[in-house]
Amino acid sequence: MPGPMLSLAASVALSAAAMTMIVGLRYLITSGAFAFATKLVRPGLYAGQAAQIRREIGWSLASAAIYGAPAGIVAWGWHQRGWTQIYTDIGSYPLWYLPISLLLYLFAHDSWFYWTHRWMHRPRPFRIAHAVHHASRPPTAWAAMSFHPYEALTGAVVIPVLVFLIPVHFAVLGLVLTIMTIMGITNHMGWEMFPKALVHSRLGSWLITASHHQRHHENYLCNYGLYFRVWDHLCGTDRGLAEP
Amino acid sequence: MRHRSWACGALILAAPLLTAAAPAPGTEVSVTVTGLRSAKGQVLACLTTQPRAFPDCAKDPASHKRAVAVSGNSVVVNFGPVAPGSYAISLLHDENGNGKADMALFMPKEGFGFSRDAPVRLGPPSFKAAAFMVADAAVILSIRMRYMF
Repeated sequence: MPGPMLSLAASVALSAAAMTMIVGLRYLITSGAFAFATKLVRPGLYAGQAAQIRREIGWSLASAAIYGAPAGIVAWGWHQRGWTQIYTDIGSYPLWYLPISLLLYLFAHDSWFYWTHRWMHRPRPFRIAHAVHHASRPPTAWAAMSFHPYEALTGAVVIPVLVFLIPVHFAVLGLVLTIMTIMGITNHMGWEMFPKALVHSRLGSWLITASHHQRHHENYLCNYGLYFRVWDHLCGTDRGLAEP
Repeated sequence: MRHRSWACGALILAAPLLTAAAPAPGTEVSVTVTGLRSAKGQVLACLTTQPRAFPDCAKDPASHKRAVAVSGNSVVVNFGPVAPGSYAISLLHDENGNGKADMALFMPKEGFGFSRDAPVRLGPPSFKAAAFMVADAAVILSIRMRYMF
């Protein structure tokens, strides 16, 4: 390879490696924080799950590389080549577009997740890819990224593709990633952190929190959604909330 | 001894007169700053030839720095005559006048702008993206201010 190509490849690889580190550290810090919160709020909830938690952390760190690489490549391209529709000037689009873009990102991710997730519950894909995630019985705060690499790949491409398709302010993108991180952890941690008044409200019947996703891990063939219960309601796969 | 120190003193006193008398060497550079969202504070501007001193000019003692009070949605920053070369400009709309870019979660809360309107992506633009040449003819640039929030 000629010199400039080599240095180009090196700078892309460096960005991918840096993003892998960031994703991995983000996982350890945020899952660690919620595991600690679990210790305080529900002491003993993860008793006897030490071996499972070790496996969850192992799969999650492998997933960090699979999530980090495409994100790092796109971040490099954004910075160096002006790729993507991420914008930093608040005046580039009207202010009302900020909440709209947030909902578009969450809904697009939710739709992709619903259908790929449902597909992964067919016998063959389940055995090959999704069984790793369901080996957590019940899951813990460490299971947020506990995926087989094939499954991690289906999740890792979503945001890197969406930033090319849907304009988004840098801070809104940060909010999307924060929601993704927090909901990914809290939906698996085994207890409901949102107030009953929300979870059991009319709004709550459209939102996915721990009570809804817990039921997916108990019954498998229902409650496939990520953030919203729209697809589950439309397709008749919503079985309501888990018993507290 | 006494005589020599007198001569030295005279030279120091005369130095400003000597530089004032000679025509200033170099080429005039000025910037019209547009898109200021408020008439508050000041625009801090810096002009440098050093890529590693861009965008804040801290590492370049020879950089040209200016502070201009804001009175409308546009101001003019005059850098005066500078030596020919490759330069880049960074601007900050220091609305609260504290002399620095106020940040929120690693993101600037105050307005910014760069020569050639080089965009901010994952961090400020590189020197190369904002660089322009100064030769014999006076340079008059226009830079639009951007606000993250």
